[in-house]
Amino acid sequence: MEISALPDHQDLLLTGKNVLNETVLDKYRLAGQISQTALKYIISLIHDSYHLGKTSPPLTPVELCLLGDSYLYTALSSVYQKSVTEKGIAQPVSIDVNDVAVGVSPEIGTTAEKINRAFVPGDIVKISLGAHVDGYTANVSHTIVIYPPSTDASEPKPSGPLLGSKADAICAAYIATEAAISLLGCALSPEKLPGAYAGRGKVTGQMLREVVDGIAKSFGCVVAPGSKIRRLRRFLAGQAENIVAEKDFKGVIWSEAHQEFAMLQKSQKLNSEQSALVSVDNHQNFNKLGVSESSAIPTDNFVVVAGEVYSVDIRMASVSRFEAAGLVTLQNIDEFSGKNNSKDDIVAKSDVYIRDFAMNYTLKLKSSRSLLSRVEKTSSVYPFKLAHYADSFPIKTTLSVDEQRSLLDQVRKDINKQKLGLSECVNNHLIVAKKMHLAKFLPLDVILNSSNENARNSGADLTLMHNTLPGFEVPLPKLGITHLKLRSLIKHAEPIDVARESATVVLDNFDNEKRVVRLTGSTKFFPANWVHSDFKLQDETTEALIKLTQDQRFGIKVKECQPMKLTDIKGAAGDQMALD
Amino acid sequence: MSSSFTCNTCGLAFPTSGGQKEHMRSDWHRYNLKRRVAQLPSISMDTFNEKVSKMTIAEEEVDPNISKRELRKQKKEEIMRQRMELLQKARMAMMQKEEENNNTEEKPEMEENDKEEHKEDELEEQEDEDETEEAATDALLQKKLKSQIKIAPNTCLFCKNHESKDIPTNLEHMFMTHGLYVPEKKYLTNAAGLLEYLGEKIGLGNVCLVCNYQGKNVEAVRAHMLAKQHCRLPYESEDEKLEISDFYDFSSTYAAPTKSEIAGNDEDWEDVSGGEEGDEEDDEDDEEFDQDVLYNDGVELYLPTGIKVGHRSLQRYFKQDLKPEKTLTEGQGTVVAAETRHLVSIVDKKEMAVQQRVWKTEISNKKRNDKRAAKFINNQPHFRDPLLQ
Repeated sequence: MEISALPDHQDLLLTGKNVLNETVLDKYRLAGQISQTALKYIISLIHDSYHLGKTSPPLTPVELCLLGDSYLYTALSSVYQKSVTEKGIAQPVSIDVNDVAVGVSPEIGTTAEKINRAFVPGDIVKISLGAHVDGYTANVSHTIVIYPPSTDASEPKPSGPLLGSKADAICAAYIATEAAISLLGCALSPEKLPGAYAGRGKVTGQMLREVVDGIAKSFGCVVAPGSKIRRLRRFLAGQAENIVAEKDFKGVIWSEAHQEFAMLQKSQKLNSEQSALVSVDNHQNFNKLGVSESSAIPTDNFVVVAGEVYSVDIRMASVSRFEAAGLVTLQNIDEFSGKNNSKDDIVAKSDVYIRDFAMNYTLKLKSSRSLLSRVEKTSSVYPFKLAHYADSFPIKTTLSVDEQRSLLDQVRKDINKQKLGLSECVNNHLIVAKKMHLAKFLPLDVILNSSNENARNSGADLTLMHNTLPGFEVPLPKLGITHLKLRSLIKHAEPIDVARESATVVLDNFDNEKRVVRLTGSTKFFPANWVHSDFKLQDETTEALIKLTQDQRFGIKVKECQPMKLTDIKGAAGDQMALD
Repeated sequence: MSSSFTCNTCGLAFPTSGGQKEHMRSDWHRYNLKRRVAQLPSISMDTFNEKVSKMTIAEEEVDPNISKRELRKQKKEEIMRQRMELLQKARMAMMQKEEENNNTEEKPEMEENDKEEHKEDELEEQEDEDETEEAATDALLQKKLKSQIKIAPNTCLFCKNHESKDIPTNLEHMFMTHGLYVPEKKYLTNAAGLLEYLGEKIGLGNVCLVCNYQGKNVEAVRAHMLAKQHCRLPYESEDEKLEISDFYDFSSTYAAPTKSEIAGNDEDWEDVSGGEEGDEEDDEDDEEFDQDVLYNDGVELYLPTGIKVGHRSLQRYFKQDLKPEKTLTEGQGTVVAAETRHLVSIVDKKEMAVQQRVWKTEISNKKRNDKRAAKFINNQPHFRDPLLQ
């Protein structure tokens, strides 16, 4: 590696700049507010297109993504114009429908029709985005339900609740997020820990996992791989996860290995010794895993400390409709056709890229050099799309839909200029494409029939390919199923719908405040859609936890970031956002 | 009486061999031998002694401790002294003459005649003896003045009779035919003066423009200059530049100096070849001027416009096209600091080259050994079918 930060700079950058103070909180709040407003804006666009019938033809995911990015870009360029040089989109708007787990943010002009189709009633749509101001990042995800257009066109209102497994997943994701946030908030005042946790005096990673797993279980769901509750630091908001093995990683992650462990526990009563043997701990022989420090390997053995910033990102998949036991896993979406999987599979190229700063290469083409320098200058360490470098970007949000569509067409033409430069950067690993994933349910008997006890794969070479964190290269270590094997088995798997909720919270202890500043996501501004689940919470401790944040007097104080009014953004169209 | 011991060169006979040997070793004999080689008749012992005595007197006059250089210096000083004396005398004579003119206007002719006679006398005296050098220089001056040929600014300095219609055409002619290049023509303000000065140098002083050769007359100098291709104006050393600097005006190249500065500088430039004091002053002024507009730190020359001029010797460093040093932003620095991936180390090129050389020699050694071994694989003289054995 040619470039490296000096040790004293390291300390300042990794810890010094993360200490909460007024300006840091202000930047966090500003990033949160912009993210919230962008989310509100996209939801209102979806309402206009699909529920109110104002826009026809309705906006496709591609257009929604680009309009959302445009709003984020314009809003961020008007804040901290002088004192902050690095600010921008922390996560381009991505819109994942139903069984798409993460990362679909197609570029305008994409040929993949399956990911750019208009929504149909009954779809669950996950909107994810993020903004950062000076590296202080606020990410958000929210799931909404598409329902038939209402007869009364003034207000978007569903005629009835969503039922079935999708409803279960949405409920579980929503409740799990709220519970996790209030448990994180308990780190500010551990004496308020309720039920079974009372008297523990601290909030640990294991507790977070227990709570989320408990909720998933009571709703007949499984926490999908890729979910995580993790600490955010300045410029380290998980945007480069799976590319950079981050030092001092602190957080709970859910992977196939954890599902495997849960199944093993269920199948046989283990004593403590055996339990230790099968538990998920990859800290031995960490240096074989391709990382230089064991702190890069995620573990549950950590304590949540006041003053930290956490991102709660929960994806739930309902497995109650499957009779046999099975595994929820992820399948890569790639652009290669001619595979022996089913015809319905999505074939698409990822259009979100991120610069890998560990890589150095002298580019040969002039266009690729200019693109790389623009990326390094404007996007810095956060992901980007080529549309962000188009001449006609950003598109004004105040324009009418038809005007916006003509501008979108202009963007599509501009992108072609950048495409040439991109390929050389990608071929030399200077820029890495972010992965897109489909959620799949793989029956356990398929796995057991093909398991191989002796299979051990360090998997370092497959890390990039399969989006895993260090230590989790082998998805099913006890069964000896490697990624390669899992990939060959995936044709036996069935698609499964995923609901996703994510929020960023600051455990604010600055000035003895003791409150949770909820940067993104909100029970008030972004409540869950009208869904009905047959399941209900069984755990009293979790119920008590959720009530804790609602209790103004004796509970945990939560301050939510309020989104701005849409009248300023959408012009004369007015504030059509309604809570349903 | 005949003797067996003789010297044919000197025409001597000796009774004993000892005497002959003695003679052979003597300087006289050696001198005669040399004369004989030069096909000159031998000289007698007396003549030789006379010659030797003359030579020793001359040698004694020269102090053997003084080196040639000092000797030359002394000679020069002596000449200078004599010249000074001469000038003094000439001045005195002029004073006297004026007084006489004032006092007795009646008989100027007489005086003049007297003077001329006197001069002639002096000339004769000078020819005879060295004592009257004053008169000699005077005469020389007179002679020169008499033989002076005035070269007009519009006539060629080198041709015998070539007249152009004006000065620029004359300069062009001299440039085209003789290669006389006038340096810094842009700043030449007084071309006529320059040509007049050069004409005087050749016509009056009979001195070559380049090498200080002094001819007997104009023709000689011209012949010399044409033959040696000395038809040019030397313009390299400080002195050479200063010699003709009167006819130039470089004030337009200065970075807006004040009027007084121009004047002061002009004076200073004139003074450069003067006394030591003048030199010192000039140096100081030079430094001041340099600090204002440009300075040289040994490697680079800083021009008043802000441009830095690199030295030619460092050309290859200026020529190289280096990649600019990478500066990380805070975000990039944070991500790099948090990085724990093991990355493939970049191959050390030197080490790799050594390794490749080793592999190469290994292969070639193996090939050679195989070749050698192959020679002796089949060492049986006849084919034997193994089945029949």
